[in-house]
Amino acid sequence: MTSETGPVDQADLDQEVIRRVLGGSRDAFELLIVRYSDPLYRHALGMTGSPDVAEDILQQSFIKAYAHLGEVRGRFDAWVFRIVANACKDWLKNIRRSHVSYEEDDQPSSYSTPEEELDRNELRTDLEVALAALAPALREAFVMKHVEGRSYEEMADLLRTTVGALKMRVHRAREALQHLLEGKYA
Amino acid sequence: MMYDDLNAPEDQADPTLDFEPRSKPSEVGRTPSLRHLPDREVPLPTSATTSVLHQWLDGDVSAAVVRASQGGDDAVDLWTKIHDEAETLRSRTTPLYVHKRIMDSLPDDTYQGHNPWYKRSIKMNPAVLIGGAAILVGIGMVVAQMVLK
Repeated sequence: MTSETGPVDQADLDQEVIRRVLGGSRDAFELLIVRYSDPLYRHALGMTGSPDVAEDILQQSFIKAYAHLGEVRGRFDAWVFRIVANACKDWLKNIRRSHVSYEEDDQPSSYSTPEEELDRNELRTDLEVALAALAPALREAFVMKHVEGRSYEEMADLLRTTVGALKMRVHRAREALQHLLEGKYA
Repeated sequence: MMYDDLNAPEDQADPTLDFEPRSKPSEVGRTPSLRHLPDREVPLPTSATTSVLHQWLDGDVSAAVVRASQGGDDAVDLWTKIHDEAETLRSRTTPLYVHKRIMDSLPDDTYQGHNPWYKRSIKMNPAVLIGGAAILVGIGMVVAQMVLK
């Protein structure tokens, strides 16, 4: 996860914040939100394809984390990541979507020409549709590897599984996406 | 190689098996569901190009190696586009109003009970002072009576 200090220092800082929150300082929890919301938001966005859903999942996950803060054992960032990851997978399993896109996207465009923006929007939509066809575990592995840029070791640590299993999922996801997209883009 | 364990309980089955690659029209009706495969090791259907592609995407070889293989140019072009799109997503940040929304939705008193009474601060006001003084005087009178007896 993002941190300017080392992981051990960061974990110590998190533990100090957690102690303050458990001691009754509700406002201290905002430090953890600010520290970890971006990578968690990107994960939820990559998993759901919808900014609105990603915001809702982030909100519900932090509320859940706050309510169970006394149960944190070990690293807070890994613990809260698993809350968000499970919420995303639950959402994917429960939802039946005919169309998902970044239409609600209010971020400014960075494309140089309207044609380029049109092409990128089309690829974005096609990629989202292709991702939606993947099983949640495959999508999760692909998003963590290629969208979030994590190493297999970091993924294994966060998801509590093996590097080999994750490589298998990423490879399957790539092959499925290639199969679905190569006819149009390759 | 991978291993299909069909004896695994349903909730522990390989979560990746939900995806079934599309069959060619001539194969429709002949391809069994992945969930009905017998117990066996299943070789992954990877060509040499696919294998090299994975190595490139994992950062183990350069794009030139993939381009040198059959169909490699198309694969590199496709994955370059996908990577550009992923890069866009990677730069996204949480909208600031979400932080406030989360803080506003947290309950106020969840951890009040976790604060022991001896650690809580006491707000001083005349009533607290008078009450404290009365308690001290009372204790003093009791102690004095015990000593005088």
